[in-house]
Amino acid sequence: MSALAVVEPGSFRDPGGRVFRAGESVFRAITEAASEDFARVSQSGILRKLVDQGKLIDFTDVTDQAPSLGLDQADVLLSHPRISFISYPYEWSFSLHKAASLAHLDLHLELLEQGFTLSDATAYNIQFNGTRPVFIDHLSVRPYIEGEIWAGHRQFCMQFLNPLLMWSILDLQPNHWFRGSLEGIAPEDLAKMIPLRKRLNWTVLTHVVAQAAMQNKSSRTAANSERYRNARLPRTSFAGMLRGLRSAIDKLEVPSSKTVWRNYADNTSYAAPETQAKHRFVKEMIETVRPRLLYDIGCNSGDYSKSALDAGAGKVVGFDFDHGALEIAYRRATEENLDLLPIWLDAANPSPAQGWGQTERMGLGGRAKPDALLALAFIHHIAIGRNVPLDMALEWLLSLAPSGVIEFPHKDDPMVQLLLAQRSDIFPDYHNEAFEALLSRRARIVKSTDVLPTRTLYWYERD
Amino acid sequence: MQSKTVISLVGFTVMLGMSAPAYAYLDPATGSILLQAMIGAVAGTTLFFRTSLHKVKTLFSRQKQSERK
Repeated sequence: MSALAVVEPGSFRDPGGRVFRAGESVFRAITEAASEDFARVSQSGILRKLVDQGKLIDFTDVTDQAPSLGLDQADVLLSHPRISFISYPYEWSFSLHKAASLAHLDLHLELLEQGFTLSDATAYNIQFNGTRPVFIDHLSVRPYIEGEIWAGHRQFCMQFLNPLLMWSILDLQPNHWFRGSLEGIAPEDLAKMIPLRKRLNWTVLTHVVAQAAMQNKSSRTAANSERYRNARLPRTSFAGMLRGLRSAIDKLEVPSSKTVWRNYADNTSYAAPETQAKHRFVKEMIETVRPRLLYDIGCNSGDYSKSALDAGAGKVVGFDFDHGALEIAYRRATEENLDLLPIWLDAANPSPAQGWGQTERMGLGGRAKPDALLALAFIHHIAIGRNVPLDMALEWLLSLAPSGVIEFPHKDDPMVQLLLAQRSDIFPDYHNEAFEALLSRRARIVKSTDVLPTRTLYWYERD
Repeated sequence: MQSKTVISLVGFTVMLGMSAPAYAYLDPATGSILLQAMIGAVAGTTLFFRTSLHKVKTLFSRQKQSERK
């Protein structure tokens, strides 16, 4: 008998179905409320076509297995391949967010052409395969009713459009705000921040300023108006709206990205001799451990992620605090078609478990099971830059993966000295011998090497 | 494990208890609806003009082609 299915806490909003997990398998139970619509969508062959195009996650009808999973009341039961790392929109870089937005609009346009639509526009329904967006909610697709309004419009604005506009118009990262407000950034809030001259843009004027004004007004009076009750959106207008948003979003860029690219071109110190030694060391660990999933903490532009993939790592999730570095890593992963997902992380304050019941969105810890990690030129940023005691910083890294490579920059390393330049050295315990002692107490040191007189790499393995 | 099973069963029962049409679960918000009523009209008109313009253009290019013949 199979294990009983456990409900996925993030899937409760649509009463038409729920996602369950049983061991490594993922199931979607579809209830009576949605099964008729789903049958129409499914019989049209559109879902299969989208799967074949790589736009929708795969599915298999396993309704016959429902009783053994304790889900016998499901009208239809689908099984899906498990996504090894779930990312959330507040962890995405600008380019990931843009790619997700365009993918959502393209999907909706394609569906509309075939007589279907999406019941919502939540960014949480997009996940990434490498840097390629994949839609994960089969139940969001339903038959289109002629003249119906776009139910997900406000949600689309809050979770896709507004974060991108905030980035592009105000050069502000929306990640912190979005993380605190899981439904996204409301037009009423964004409208207050946009300067007058930037409002003279069709997308901003309509989807942000006008929507905000009408939302503010409507909560008082307009809800009872004739126009509200009889609002209809002809199909051509619906498609026109989606296309308009698509072309507007496609043009968005981050103003600061140009500087990042220039700085990156000026700082290509990749010919440095120690990088060769680092790449070799990383490859040796990867070839031995053969991780299916690897975390690259402080991935920067993804140099070592790429080495790890070349050496046989299955999939890499790269984390960095610097959005400029993430953009470079995104471009590399996309151009070279790498299974690398570079996302934003403040290691001193990683994504918490939050949302309804504090289980709706998973925290970073325990979200996935990486087989190994890389933490190169990283730990000094936490231990010295953020005052996290060295043993606690190390403990956190070790909690993420059972094996990996950690680089320890010594106290006299120029990068560490840079962090200490304007402050007194209150870190007497930050030195290589102490680090090695701490590490060997918690894990086995498989190998270590000095890539520079002031930098040591450690390959560890715990339990 | 037992508690997880309970969660799973509770989750499912609650889910089955809802009989609302599945497509109506998202509240589209009044501001968005009013805006769509307007944008819809504008986008539709733009599209109408674009299509008409295209038709006129094709008409002329056809004429030109036939003139060449």
